[in-house]
Amino acid sequence: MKRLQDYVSAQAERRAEAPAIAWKGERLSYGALEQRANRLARLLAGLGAQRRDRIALLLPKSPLAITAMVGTLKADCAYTPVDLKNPAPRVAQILAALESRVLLACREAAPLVEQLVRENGLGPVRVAWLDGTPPPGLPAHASLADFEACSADSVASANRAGDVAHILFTSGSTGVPKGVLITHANVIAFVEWARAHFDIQPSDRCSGHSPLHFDLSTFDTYGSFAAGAELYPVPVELNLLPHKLAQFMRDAALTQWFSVPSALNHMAKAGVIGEHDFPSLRRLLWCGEAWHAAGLAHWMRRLPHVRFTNLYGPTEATIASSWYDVPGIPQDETKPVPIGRPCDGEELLVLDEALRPSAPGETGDLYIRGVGLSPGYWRDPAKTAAAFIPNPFSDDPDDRIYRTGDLARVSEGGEIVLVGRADTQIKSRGYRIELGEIEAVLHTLGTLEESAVVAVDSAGIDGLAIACGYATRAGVATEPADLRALLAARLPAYMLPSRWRRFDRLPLNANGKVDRKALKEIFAATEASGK
Amino acid sequence: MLERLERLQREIAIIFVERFDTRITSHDVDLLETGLVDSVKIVELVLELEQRFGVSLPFEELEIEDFRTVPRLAERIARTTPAAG
Repeated sequence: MKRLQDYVSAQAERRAEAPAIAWKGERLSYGALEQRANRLARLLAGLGAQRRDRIALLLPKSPLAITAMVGTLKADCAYTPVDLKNPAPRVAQILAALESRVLLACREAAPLVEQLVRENGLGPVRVAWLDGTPPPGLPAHASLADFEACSADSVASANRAGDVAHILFTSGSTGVPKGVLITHANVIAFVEWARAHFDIQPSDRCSGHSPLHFDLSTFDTYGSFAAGAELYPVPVELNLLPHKLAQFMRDAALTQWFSVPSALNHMAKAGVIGEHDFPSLRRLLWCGEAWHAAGLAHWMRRLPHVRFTNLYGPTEATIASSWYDVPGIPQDETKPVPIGRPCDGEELLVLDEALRPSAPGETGDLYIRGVGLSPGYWRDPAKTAAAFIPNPFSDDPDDRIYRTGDLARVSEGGEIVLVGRADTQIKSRGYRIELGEIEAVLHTLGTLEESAVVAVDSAGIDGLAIACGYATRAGVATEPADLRALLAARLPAYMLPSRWRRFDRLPLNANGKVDRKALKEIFAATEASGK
Repeated sequence: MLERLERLQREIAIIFVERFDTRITSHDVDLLETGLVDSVKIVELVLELEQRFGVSLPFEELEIEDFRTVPRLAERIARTTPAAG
């Protein structure tokens, strides 16, 4: 395949009636998906979208959103799925960075669009409301009727494998989200490896657990479409109640599950997985953060018929760069599960500070090289140059390696094992959070004398809690609830600290800087005492 | 009954301030859409509700809609608590 949309077209040509997406009791066939995506591509062209434009999708996870993704690619454009739960100022930052000519929305996004218009204005962007008549009083350049009036005939796309397919925004330490560019070729390389490695078949029923603005969802969607399998997007609210999530897996008779470990831990802790549960399930894959061996063992003991695979890789290297098929139930639950070996076309390097290979067993910085590497960050050559550096083992200036920020070592068996982070990025329920981004926003509030954010171990499902220590300005009374409300207007809910502590002065180290280690210990002591 | 529901609503609002440092500004606030209740907090919230109101709320008997707003949550607890409370 040359481009991602070709996966859908190929299935529509051969197996038009085969189900592509199952959603809340309804099914969308490959033929219907292809036709709707063609309509959407024409709608975009009619609205003035041009090749290499960025289209923002203000659509909740649904067959419509997935149709919009495929249709955007057919229109030679790249898409950015926007989390509707994000506060409006953050969405405004993303829209401004993208300079989208067209925005695809639906009724659920109306309150957000209304706030965007009220606070910043939308500028020249044209808005298409894809699920009905446009909400009154908001900019509207197309409606469902216009969408349906477009021809469903096949579209002659001009895009190429090297074009950007989507831009995914992740937490940035300076307070502005970073847009990671991902090409068709990046995704296709991983999808083709996974299809062969896991033997994904048209008879498969694949989960779509991750939100569409997460890069895990890229594999859910295109991995399933490449094989002509059936995709089961998981309604997000099911995550709240583990027995509902498990029931969804059973009812759908899923054969493939892919998610962050926290969803799996949640189900394990609630005790909702029975012996030989999910009899149709063939493989369970996880990515996004480390899964502790105890949680993994809980699942493996109950599901001896399932293959368990750890996938690892940052968004910058597209979905995953390495894999580890767990050979048996972990005996030592204190040992980390390895991230394993590189996928086809990828290389994982553990290097020391001078970019020389670390000795086996020695900890070093983990770098990735290969077919999954993103071209870089959207309109940010400085950040791109800092993270994607020339390969020190090559004379080719285009040969780059990506510095993941993860620390790793190579085990005796040749498997790579993660040992921590070189910076203050954390993973919480699969969300990648730069603690520096939270601090940057706190500093702009202007109500605090000083503040610092650290991550502490907690007994909860999450494993990590975000903790904020702060000192108020003289005479300014500031309660955690006030601070939280101010932050909530700027940051998504998963980035908000859940532990707060007021100090007269924050602890300082010998250099006169905030002593994060000491701060962390203070929070850890409170955590341990259960207060 | 109405008085009891109002009291439950006030107490639930207090839980949000004390446990999650969050002031719920209106009864209409959608706790799920805003992320005020998520997969992590729901566990803590249910435990706290059970302790504070002396009720039993087994996960498998809960519905997602029970957590949509503070009034819905109050109604759910009211159905569980002995009416004499």
